[in-house]
Amino acid sequence: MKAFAKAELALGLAIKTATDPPAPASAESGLPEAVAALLASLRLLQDVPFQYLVPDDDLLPPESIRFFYLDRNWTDAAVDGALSTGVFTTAERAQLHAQYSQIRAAVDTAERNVWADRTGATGFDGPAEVATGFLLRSRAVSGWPGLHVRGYRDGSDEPMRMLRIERLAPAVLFALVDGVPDRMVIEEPRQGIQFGVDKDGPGRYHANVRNPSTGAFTGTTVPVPFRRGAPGVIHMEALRRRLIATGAVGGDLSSAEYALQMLQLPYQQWFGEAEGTMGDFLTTLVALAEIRTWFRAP
Amino acid sequence: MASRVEVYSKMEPPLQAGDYELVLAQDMAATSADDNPLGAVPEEVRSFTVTSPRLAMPGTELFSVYPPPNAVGAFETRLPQVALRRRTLPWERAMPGGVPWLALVVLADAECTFLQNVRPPDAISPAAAAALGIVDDGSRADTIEVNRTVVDRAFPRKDELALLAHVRHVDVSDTELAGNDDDGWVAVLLANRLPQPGLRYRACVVSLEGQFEVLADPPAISDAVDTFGSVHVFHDVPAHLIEAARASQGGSPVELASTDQPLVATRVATLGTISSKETADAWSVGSPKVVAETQSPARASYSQFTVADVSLAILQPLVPRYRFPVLASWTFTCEEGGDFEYLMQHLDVGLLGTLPDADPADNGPPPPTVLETGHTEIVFQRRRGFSGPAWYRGPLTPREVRRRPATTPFATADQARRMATDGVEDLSEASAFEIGRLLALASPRFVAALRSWANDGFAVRRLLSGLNDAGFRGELGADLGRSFVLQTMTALAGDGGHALGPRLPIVDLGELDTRPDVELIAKGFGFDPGFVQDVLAPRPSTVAVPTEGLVVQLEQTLDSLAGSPEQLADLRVGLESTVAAIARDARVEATDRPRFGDAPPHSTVERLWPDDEGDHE
Repeated sequence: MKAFAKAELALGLAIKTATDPPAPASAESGLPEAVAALLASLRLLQDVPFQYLVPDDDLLPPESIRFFYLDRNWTDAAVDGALSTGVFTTAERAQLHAQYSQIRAAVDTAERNVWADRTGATGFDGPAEVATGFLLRSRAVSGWPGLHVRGYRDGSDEPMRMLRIERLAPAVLFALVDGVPDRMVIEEPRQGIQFGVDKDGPGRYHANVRNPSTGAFTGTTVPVPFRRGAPGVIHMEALRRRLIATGAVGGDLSSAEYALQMLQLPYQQWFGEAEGTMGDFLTTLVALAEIRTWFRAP
Repeated sequence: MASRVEVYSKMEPPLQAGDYELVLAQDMAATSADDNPLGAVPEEVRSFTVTSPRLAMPGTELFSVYPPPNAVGAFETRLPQVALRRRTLPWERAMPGGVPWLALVVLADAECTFLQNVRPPDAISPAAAAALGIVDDGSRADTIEVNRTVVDRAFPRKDELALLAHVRHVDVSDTELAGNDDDGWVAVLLANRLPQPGLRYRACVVSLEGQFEVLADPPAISDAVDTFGSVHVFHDVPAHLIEAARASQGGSPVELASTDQPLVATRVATLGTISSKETADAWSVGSPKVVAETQSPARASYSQFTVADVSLAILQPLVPRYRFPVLASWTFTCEEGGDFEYLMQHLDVGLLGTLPDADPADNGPPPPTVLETGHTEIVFQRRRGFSGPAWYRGPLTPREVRRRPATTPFATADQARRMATDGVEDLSEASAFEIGRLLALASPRFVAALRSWANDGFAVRRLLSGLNDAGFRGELGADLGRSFVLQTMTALAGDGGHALGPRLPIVDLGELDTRPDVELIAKGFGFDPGFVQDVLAPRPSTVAVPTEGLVVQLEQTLDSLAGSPEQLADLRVGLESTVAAIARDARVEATDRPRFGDAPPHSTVERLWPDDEGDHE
């Protein structure tokens, strides 16, 4: 009779699981999506109050950058806390214990894919490695929104995978990198890249001429003309004629070509071993003359 | 590196701003000689309006500005610029020649008068207001009022407008903007003026709609100079010169030669008071919460007046003045140092846990105690009410911490409390547990999903892959449940129940003292202690059992049992009651006569024990 009862119970369970399985987050793991999402965000310290990250104000003074390793034991304890909200009986506790290593593996995968989903990059699998990052508190963060952050390992030009980049406050930037980088770079936002000229002396400026097809500097410079009686106000027509006269820009100067000539490379600040050459930041992929042929009226 | 920037000259919207009428007309032509019986089809007319900011713009349309608002820094080699989120915005209103209707002008403090929250007809020159049909509709706008000289000298000229606006496309996947609505497209307006150090500037995005003719005509090339002298700043223009300028009829100019002096690096505090002050943050786009102090130009006092070379070296009182609506504006001061490069190179670099150098003159709170491992001393109030120190380290550490393997999850925060070697508690992981728990409880969706998942036993692997792992190779059909159960029962029976979970002891009594108390036993039974000790010794004993003092031994054989009817009677009563109970369970009728002494009637009980008569007497 006992065997009969057990079989009935097992059958009922089997029917229930066969017809109504829990919605898994991915093909491999069986975590429900809501659970995986919150646990992955806990791992990346999202919504964690700032006092937990930096207990004292003196640890992150103004105009400073602080690098750190991510303590995975701390985040595992936070995940345990989140899981404890659903476990009440000894039986459930024993079941959680039995599945714990698999749950951790599934959350490792989910943690990696949070940023990949946001940027459209490919996802990644595997156990979580050491994660590092930095906290930057500076006027540079509030004045230049959208700073670019990348990390590199020695011997590779591919940027490392980021886990999270966020402004926790108007002047505090938090970044997490998957792995230990040898060099990190913080770059001025490219959407706000600047245009300008170079200074020779008081009141005297020059502009470096670029080749509009390749974007490289041609080596010639053009003194910047100003309006008479209006210091600092650029005389655009004269500048335009001078740029055309150098012969490097072609027959005409549109606003995009003018912007190209005035382009100043964004400043990159490297941390780590110095890697001085930026290479060709800007290479025009399609020449403007070629683009014009696309839009010529038939 | 896969980062790229694309630059475009112009991005025209499909429809410019304005009122439109959509007319649907049909031509009906009869194919036969008869008249068209249907008659003409009336036209359908629909009106719609394409709107675009005209006099004011919400601050959200701005993506970024350079120089940063209220910044103080070295900006003299960079053209100020503003990036707008909508890439077609500068071309959304019609202008002669298809030039953009927005321009970014940079003016020193004293070259313009910035008026905030004026009524729409006052925000633009009267002639243009009449031409564009701007009426007071209750909204408010900002405006600047400049005179002819400033427009000639500092504003872009007619042919320069097109050169100062372009569109840019950037890849944002390695910034904090990744995944947001920003798609990387911005429209950029450049200024045509380089800021000079020592002056405070106001940069404004002005609307030129309807005032294109006000701008200066394309100039002669001889107007260009390669260098310019220092910017002249005039302080404390004497009142009598101002009065003379005002009083002179016919607009004859008054030269300020007597106070002409070269530029001296001045602090911001000494610059002119004629500008308006804002107390909110730097975007001033007509939001009513910004408190401003405005002065109307007619009543401006000219004392402590700072004049820059471009506009007011010559006070011209009767020069025509124009008003341009300002859609966004901010101020900045140009100085040495303070741009992005300067800021990044002067950062204090270190690992988390590095304290800044103590400033002896600082009277603030004492710096915290931070260990090399990154632990910080915090005050911990215990459950009993008294507080004391404790160590805490967040998830950000200056050294790599090895991750513990996944064995046992914490069940409560108290399990995660640790003790440091100096006797003070370490609360790092306990705090982590609690904040994880709180954040989980704050999400009802998570709690619901977790409960339903817990009810299914935290099944981490999918049902099918789990079956495959268990060796199930059968077909999946309608009797999946039955096959599954059979497989499960077989598997469970095979490995002794290990699949169900770890075996926990039923009860754990702990250590018991199994050595018996010899004295107690001897006293209780009345034996000799030496005898008890021998009996309990772990070896076979050949102790003769003493017969005196024991209770009466129980009978060993049935013969002796037959000789003692008292015991037999007790046994018989017990037998009868047991048999009756079995008969009831077996649904057999019970007899009225439970005793065996009399001859029983023919009943099933009789049949159970056919030889009862003979056994018992």
